[in-house]
Amino acid sequence: MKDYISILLSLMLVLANAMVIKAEELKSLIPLSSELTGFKITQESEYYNKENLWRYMNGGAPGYLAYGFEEMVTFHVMNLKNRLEIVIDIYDMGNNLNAFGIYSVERVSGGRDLEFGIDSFQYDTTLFFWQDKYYLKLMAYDMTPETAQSLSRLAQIITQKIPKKGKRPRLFTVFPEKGRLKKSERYIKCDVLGQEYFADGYSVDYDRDNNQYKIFLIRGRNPKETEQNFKKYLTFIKVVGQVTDEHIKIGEQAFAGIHNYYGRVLFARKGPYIIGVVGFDNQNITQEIIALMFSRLI
Amino acid sequence: MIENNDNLMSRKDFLRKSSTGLLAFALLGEIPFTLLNSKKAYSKTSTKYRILGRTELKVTAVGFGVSRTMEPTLVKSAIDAGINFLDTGRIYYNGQNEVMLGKVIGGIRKEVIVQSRVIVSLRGKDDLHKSTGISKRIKNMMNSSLKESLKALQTNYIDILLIHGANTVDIINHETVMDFFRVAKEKGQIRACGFSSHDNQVELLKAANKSKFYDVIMIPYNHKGSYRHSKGGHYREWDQQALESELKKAERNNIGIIAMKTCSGGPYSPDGRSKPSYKAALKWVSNHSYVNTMAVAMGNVKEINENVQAMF
Repeated sequence: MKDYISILLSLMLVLANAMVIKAEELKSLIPLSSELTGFKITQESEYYNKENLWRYMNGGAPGYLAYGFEEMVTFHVMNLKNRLEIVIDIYDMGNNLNAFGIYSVERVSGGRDLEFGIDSFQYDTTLFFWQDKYYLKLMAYDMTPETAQSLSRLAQIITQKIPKKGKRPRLFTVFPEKGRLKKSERYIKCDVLGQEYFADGYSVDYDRDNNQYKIFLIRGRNPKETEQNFKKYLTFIKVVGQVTDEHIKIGEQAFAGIHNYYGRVLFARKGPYIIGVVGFDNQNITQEIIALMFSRLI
Repeated sequence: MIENNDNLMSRKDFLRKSSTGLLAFALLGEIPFTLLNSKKAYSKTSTKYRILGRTELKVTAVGFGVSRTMEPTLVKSAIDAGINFLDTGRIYYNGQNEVMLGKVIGGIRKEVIVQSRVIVSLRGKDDLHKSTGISKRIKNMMNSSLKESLKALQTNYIDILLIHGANTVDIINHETVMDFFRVAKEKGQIRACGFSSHDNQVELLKAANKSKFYDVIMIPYNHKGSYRHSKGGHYREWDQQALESELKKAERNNIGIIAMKTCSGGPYSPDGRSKPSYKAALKWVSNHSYVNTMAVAMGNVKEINENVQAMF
């Protein structure tokens, strides 16, 4: 019994130690005074983890947790010249894919593209970027002629403190280029297409020959489970819409139909992958798109 | 408070009488029941609407907390299932939750009741009343947030606008905040105003009952008197008796009450013997006359299927 207790205590100690190291790793990204020429940190940093993130963002927390949120730190910085206040949030999302995921769903169309981290933009008084497993937001209180410059300067300082660069999710290279809308890539961690059995989804928006459509790529855990989930989705389309063709020869199984929101859809599966093109009327082109994507997945 | 627009129809009757009834019976073992709603099979024949306090807005007993999804088809499924009350907020996914919702409700704006929320953030600023700078900041923040919400939702009015997560009486009674709501109503940008709160809800309800300024209040309420968040795991509890006493006063003051965290108290068994369910947990909340609707967060079709049954 004593042995069990000591093993348990040792495990708890190791865990607590790992958590402290993790928190320190995140806090190390806060710039030092010597690195902040022209700025100063005006408030003690606040640290949040999975258990208390809701204290910081209330109902916004579940969305971050769904994307694998681990911990975050927030701190206030002031531009000494014009006294502009900026709040900086650094979120550790656990891995590269999750960081991209939350960034991709929060991306605002019409933002000004920037070149920090792997991808970044500024919208209104906030600068957003992601790098490696981190998602960052730099929020200025006011829009002044120097706001953009201040945000960029701080983003520059922090991006240099993040040890790794990270990389864009590989599966987006499978999507076709023709008609692809810039910066429309999105990673959907769970409940893809509103279905509890679909996770790990990638989507890209398209505009081709005046057709606006979307392509989904869903990666299942294994071919057998993917086959079962594909059948469930086929049944779902039959109930909420209409299946017009179940004998399409792409991949291992495919169907065309009409979805109650997206309109015309074509879904196909091969191995652990499902590809769906939604909202595009031309079935021949849709089939070509899916065939091309399957060929790229091999 | 409860208005039956049409005759109630039991699930069994519906299945027998509706055009999809035979199909539904055949598929029921495999396909969740309310998927059938997606063809609007019975939403117009058996939906119960309630009047949301003094707002005169007609809302379904189960509303959709849209915040948990970025998938437009899910919102479409909820609307097709008969739900007309949709709750979102500027905070969710950096305003993109509103953008997604705006795309879905574009052609059916008048058929749905849209609630959004504005953050009144004072980040690091302690005293609300001392500084005129803070009043200016609050005003700018709220005006800018409303403008962004209207743009994102592709609408020229929001039915209900709430302060998001108010936790002190100072915020809800702040003159600048109240002025903002008065002006927004006069301009026709919003039809009703209120606040949501996760903390200190008894005190806030007391204050709202006293001022009678707010039309709508959204608070956690469930059979357990506490909640553990399904994603975050954090725990909260409240004095159920004191809360219910204030809710009854709110009903007398004709303040619309929206319950949240309705499933976060866990499944419920009405008689203590039957298998606890979330449907029963929702029913427990909606059976209280002072609750007009519930903002139930749902992330997939399966959850909609389960929760929408509490409306019937």
